Amino acid sequence: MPFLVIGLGCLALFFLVKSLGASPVSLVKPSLPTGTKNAPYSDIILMSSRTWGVPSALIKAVIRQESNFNPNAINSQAAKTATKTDDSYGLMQVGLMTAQNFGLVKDYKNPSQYEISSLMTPQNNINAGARELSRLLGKYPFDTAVQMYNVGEAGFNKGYRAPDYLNKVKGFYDEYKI
Amino acid sequence: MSIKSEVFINNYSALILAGTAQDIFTFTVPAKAIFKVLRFGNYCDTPGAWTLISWAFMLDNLFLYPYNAILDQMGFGTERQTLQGIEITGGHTLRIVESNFTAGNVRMGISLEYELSYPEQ
Repeated sequence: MPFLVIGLGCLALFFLVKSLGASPVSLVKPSLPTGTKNAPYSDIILMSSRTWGVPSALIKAVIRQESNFNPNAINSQAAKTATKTDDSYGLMQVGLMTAQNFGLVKDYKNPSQYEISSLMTPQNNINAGARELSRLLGKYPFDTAVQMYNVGEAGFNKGYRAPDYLNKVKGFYDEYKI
Repeated sequence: MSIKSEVFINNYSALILAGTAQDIFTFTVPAKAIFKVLRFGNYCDTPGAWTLISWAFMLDNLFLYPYNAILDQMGFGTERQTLQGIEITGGHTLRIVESNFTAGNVRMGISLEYELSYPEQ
């Protein structure tokens, strides 16, 4: 008898959920990756996308890959090269030379702390990163441009490639395009 | 309350080396003053460079949308066009940065008309 009651209860619950229009599948659907639908900095990304003619989904994909939306991310190469010139900063991991080409840093070999802080603000970082993407996409095919964003034009021409970088960015790009 | 105001016109140009950027205008608004951009013109000596060169307005070192990247000709030289929405209070700094993303040097210039007013309390 108790089994019959429990069974009837489960059946009633099933029909109740179904009648409310909630699919049981959706209850176990995995949550979307960080920022897929409501990506942080969407307004800045959109404005930079329009300004520089770069798809906003690509900007988001690069941010996701480069910093996972952490505006304070710093990739320090100083330990390897004894200089700060190869460090990259912020959401889009913008390098100091790119920042100098954009007027954010006076001398990439000797940046001030103020200039680095300025480079790391989302507004400046996304703007500079999107500009760099736009420049590369204007000169090279998509795959090449994306890899060059990561290792630099000179690095790419010397044969440097980051394993999986392109595939990861393209994967995120497909997610954000939806 | 009365307002004292004055209109200024500044013309500047500079040879921007290939792949570099340079400040062409920097102004820190005096305390209690209000700085308002009225009209703006920009030009370059290399027509093929348009879209690969930019004029960016920065307020306190932050790009100022939508004037973070003026890529085309807004007004040639002294033929300035109205530019709305840039009004800055005392203590803040406006920069205009010229960037050249071409492979050659480009002479780039601006013609800026602005109003500086001092509201009297």
